[in-house]
Amino acid sequence: MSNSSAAAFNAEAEQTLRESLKRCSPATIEAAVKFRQTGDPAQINTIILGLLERFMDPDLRPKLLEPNIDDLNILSDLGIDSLTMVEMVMLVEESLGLTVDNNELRGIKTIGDIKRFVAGKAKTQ
Amino acid sequence: MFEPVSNPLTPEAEQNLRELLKRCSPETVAAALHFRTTNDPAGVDIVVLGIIERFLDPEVRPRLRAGGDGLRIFDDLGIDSLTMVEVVMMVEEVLQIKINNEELRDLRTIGDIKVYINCRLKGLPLPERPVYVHVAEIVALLPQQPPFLFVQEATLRTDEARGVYKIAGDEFFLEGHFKNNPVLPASIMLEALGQLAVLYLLKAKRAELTSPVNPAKIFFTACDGVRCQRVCRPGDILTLVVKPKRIKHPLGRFQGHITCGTERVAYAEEITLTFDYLATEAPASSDGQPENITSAQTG
Repeated sequence: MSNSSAAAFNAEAEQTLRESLKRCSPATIEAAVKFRQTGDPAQINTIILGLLERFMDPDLRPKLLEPNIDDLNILSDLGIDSLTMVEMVMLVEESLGLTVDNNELRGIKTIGDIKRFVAGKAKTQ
Repeated sequence: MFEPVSNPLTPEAEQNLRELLKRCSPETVAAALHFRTTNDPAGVDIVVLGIIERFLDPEVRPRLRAGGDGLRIFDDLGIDSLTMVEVVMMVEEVLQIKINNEELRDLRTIGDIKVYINCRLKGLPLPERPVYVHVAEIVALLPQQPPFLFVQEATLRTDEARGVYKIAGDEFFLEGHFKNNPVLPASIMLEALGQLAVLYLLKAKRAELTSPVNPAKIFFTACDGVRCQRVCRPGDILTLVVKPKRIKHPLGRFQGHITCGTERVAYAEEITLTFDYLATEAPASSDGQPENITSAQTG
């Protein structure tokens, strides 16, 4: 998976991406495809929210529609525990073509933290 | 080992070949003649299946004809080891190849045979040797134990684990599922796939598994895209298959499916297990990361 963002994003890779994101909303999938094609960082927030939604308890999903969600705590507000977080990271790696070490997740507590972390990753990788 | 016959098939050799295959179907004979005159491996599957069919109990032949690479030579077709020797001798003679007994032991299904013959004729490297795991070893390795063990034998490759579960009929849960109508619960099907994935994590050689996995620290985490396609009852022999899609400590993600003979029974697009190593690695989890497990154990 390392540095797969550098590799050509061909039709086959797009198919794989759509397959791994198939339980996410259509908007999430399109944003991820666009991100992989163009590297447009404006897509990242849509992708993050879509991935969070996919791993959240359906009862808690409406929280993502609230204003100012950046301060929401991943565990206490969204119910995503550390293990689910690792699951989500795997999907982030696959969909955005990034590599994340589990140790880097320390200190990530809120949605805003995730956005900043992924945006930083996307810039450096 | 394998020397293609470059000389044309003499009338005498053709006569011998026809004689040798006289109890095989006409298309088998035709395919064999085609192969021997042209060395074209395209029709070789027909030859090999035709030879196997010749040695089968007539009642079992439709099973072979129905196809399916998952058909097991011993369990599904009833070919014992002595008959297997006869099949091998005839295949050797007809295709003019030599099959050694070591390699023969790894061939358990019709699919294995096809792949093996094709590799030999095309000079390709043989597929990775599967590791066969006997029931006693499964019991020794897995945390799940009878009466809640649903993998009775298994073969492991780097990219796949296959297992077998025969529904005996005396399983405790069949008494109530259902009343006077024993049907294997779908939850047990998923459990069986989960157990096979556990076996994979404990036994398979895989670069991402950097140290031995702790059998007491594997738990079922998630399952997506599940569909059951066939009702299974006592006497059914289920073939379980799981393929690792991604392994990244502390998670392993698999896809799985179950068949019974040539019929599809169930599939799960994703089964995710969490695991930890026997020797806890460096301070990776000082922040409590892989420890906060909230899921139910497989079993």
